Amino acid sequence: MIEITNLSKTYYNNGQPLEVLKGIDCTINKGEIVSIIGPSGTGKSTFLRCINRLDEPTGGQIIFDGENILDPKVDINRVRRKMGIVFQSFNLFEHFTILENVTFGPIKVLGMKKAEAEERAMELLRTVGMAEKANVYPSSLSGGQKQRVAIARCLSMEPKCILFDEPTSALDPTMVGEVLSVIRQLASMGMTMLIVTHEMKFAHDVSTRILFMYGGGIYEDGTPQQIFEHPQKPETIAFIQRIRTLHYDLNTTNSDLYAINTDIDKFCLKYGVERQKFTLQLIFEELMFNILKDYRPISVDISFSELDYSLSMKVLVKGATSSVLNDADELSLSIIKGKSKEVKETVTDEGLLIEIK
Amino acid sequence: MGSGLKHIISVITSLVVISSCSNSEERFYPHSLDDLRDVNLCVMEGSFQADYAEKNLKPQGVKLDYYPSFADCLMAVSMNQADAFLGSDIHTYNDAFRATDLEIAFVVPQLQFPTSYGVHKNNIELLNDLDSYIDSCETEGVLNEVRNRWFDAKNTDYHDCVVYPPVSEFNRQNGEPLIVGISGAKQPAEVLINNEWTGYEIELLQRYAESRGKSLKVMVFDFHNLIPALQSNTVDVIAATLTVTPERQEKINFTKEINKLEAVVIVKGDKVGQESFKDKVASSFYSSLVKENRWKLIMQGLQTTLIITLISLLLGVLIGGLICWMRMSNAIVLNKIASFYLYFMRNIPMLVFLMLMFYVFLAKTGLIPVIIAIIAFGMNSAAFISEIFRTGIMSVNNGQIEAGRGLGCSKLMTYRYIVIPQAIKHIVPIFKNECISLLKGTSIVGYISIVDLTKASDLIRSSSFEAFFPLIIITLIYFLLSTLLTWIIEKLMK
Repeated sequence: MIEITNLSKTYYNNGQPLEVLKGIDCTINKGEIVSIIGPSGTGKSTFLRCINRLDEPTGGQIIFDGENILDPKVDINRVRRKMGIVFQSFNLFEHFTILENVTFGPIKVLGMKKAEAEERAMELLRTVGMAEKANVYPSSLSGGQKQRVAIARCLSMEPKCILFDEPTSALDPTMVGEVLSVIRQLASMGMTMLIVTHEMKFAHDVSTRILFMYGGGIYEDGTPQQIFEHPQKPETIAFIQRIRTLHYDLNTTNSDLYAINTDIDKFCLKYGVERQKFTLQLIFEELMFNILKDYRPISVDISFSELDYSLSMKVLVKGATSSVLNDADELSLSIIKGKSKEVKETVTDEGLLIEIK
Repeated sequence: MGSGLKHIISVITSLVVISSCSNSEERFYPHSLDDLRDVNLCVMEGSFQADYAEKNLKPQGVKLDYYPSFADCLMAVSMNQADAFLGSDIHTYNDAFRATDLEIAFVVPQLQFPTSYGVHKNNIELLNDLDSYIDSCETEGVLNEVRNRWFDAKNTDYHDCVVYPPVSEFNRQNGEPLIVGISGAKQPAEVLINNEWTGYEIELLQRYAESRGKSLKVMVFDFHNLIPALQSNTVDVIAATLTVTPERQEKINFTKEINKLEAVVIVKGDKVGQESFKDKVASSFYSSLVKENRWKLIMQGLQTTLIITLISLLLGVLIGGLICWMRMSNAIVLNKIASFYLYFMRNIPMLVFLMLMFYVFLAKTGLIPVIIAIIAFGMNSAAFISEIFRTGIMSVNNGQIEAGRGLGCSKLMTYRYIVIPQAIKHIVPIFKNECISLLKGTSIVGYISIVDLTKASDLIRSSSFEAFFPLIIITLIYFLLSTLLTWIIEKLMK
């Protein structure tokens, strides 16, 4: 239904180019429910908005219903009638009542008779549970109610597919459920949908397919099972397990280790693991000040998984070919071992890797 | 509207209270120019007395105040804003002057000048023709007859002096117009009777025009704008008891002498207290509004003010919409043009722009002054209206536009159904202000010879030498108009 080839988008900020989408290839079939996930700032929303040209792509091709909609000769307004969009900030027409919001498109754009449009609008409002509020203005509704009306407004155009741009991100946690269940209902009716979302559980349960976006491209593409349970690439794993990392390269013995200790402090505070702060700092100090004092260059990765609340530290001693821990100071080593669950040493191509969990 | 009326009433009451308070000071009565040292002497802008006072009296310590018309000078003395007025004798021979509390203190013997008509330097043909006509009048005794009739000191009312049909009637029988510029405040050379211009100098020109088969068109300017109007060919001839001075001779040509003029010093007399307050108000009301149907002049002025305000508002909205569109468009050229337009219009004083349009840009187009005023005010308000529009449109959240476009609306439809209805809510309050300031702003069109509400009141003041009623009445009308205008806009926007 939608065939996207080599789609790219570059913004210019004071003449400085910023490449947001780097040649995306992707095909979406009829009836698919595709969730687009990924860290912030990786171009998920831009990608979605490029599909109906609310953001103008700088290159590539999008074939929708057998027609290249990036062709300047194409009437994009006609295309958008078949491809609805739901926004993060609802964007209901503030000067219209709920009913008028839902009848506006059919009457003014599709040229439907008012009575017919109102009848259909009421039906749609019943579907999303908002029929009761047909004659009030948007300003008196809650966020969740507004978003349900926005979905009804989108459906009023009888689109062939709907683009959801973070439909629940602007909502109170208490209102996320009502909007998701309306989307779930649409899914059960077989609507083709592209959903940019941060609701992982929802994406897992509802989607037929997940696109993981990273760095302006589709990084991994698969079924929810593949992506959530068996992610293949390290960035996907880090995202799925919600792993936060702190990375340092120590190239000389002159590095400011105390500054790193302060960073560890902040890192633990940020992710709510203050209790393990002293343990982490102790292990770091024993390693850096004693065991690995004379080894350089070293790279250190401290990571925290929000999924299982585990902390780990990976130290790569570049150029080392044999065990370091065996020659280490007994006391330091016993402190490290006593404070951690597991200490592992492996020799790799790059050097000696010490993993402490 | 109820509260508006209440406001108006309270303003009137306070004005009446303020104006009825008069301060009694010891009376000042000079006998020669030497007595004028250290006093406030008022003179009329551009008059030969003003030139004389500037050169000879100011160095002696006389403080000079400049006023635009003869009547304003008289009123300044009457209201104790100045101690004396250096004016001309010929304007004091009428009833209205006798009705004031002013009198002539002394005649200035060293200031006697001939007066005549002024003609453009290049218009030698008209100059020679007028000169030969004046010569023939002189020999036939017509000049003396007309002069004596208008300057007869026994006259109580200029009505008796009128022997010629009014200009509007006169024009129906005659052809191509001779355009004459007058100051409108120098009786009996130019007199407004039943809202038609006549008087000594105008009757003479009417006679001249008739003999040459021409009609006559009268345009009113402030005295100091007459010579510029002549130089820009806006008028053919100027007639306002124009004194022949060497300085003026450099700029324009003068015809042969038609009258002689003496300078006089006018001060406040001691007629105070002869009439009761009630009688004073009644006679002031009579001479300001009832006499010679002067209220009709106010009504004509009101009509002109309304026409200029409403049409230039319409023009302003149209041009303003265009400028707003240009300003918001992505085309750099359009954007630059619009920005320059805004920069120019915002920084030029309205009066200066109006005069520029009248005397420079549109001087040669032959458009009537009202049209020029409409164009000037329309262009000026367009700048402000376009910025009002732009602010209104910018205040509509971008998401609203995206939602419209997302439903498949064209840009135009989105603006029409989504953006503009929402923008209007933000626009109305500021737009009302712009309308009122436009209405009030039109009060300067008198500068380009249009008789609007303000100029009508000026003309009445210069015939009746009464300031109170002409000013109060137009104040009231302006209040009512702005109240009405805002009310209409509010209704329309709903």
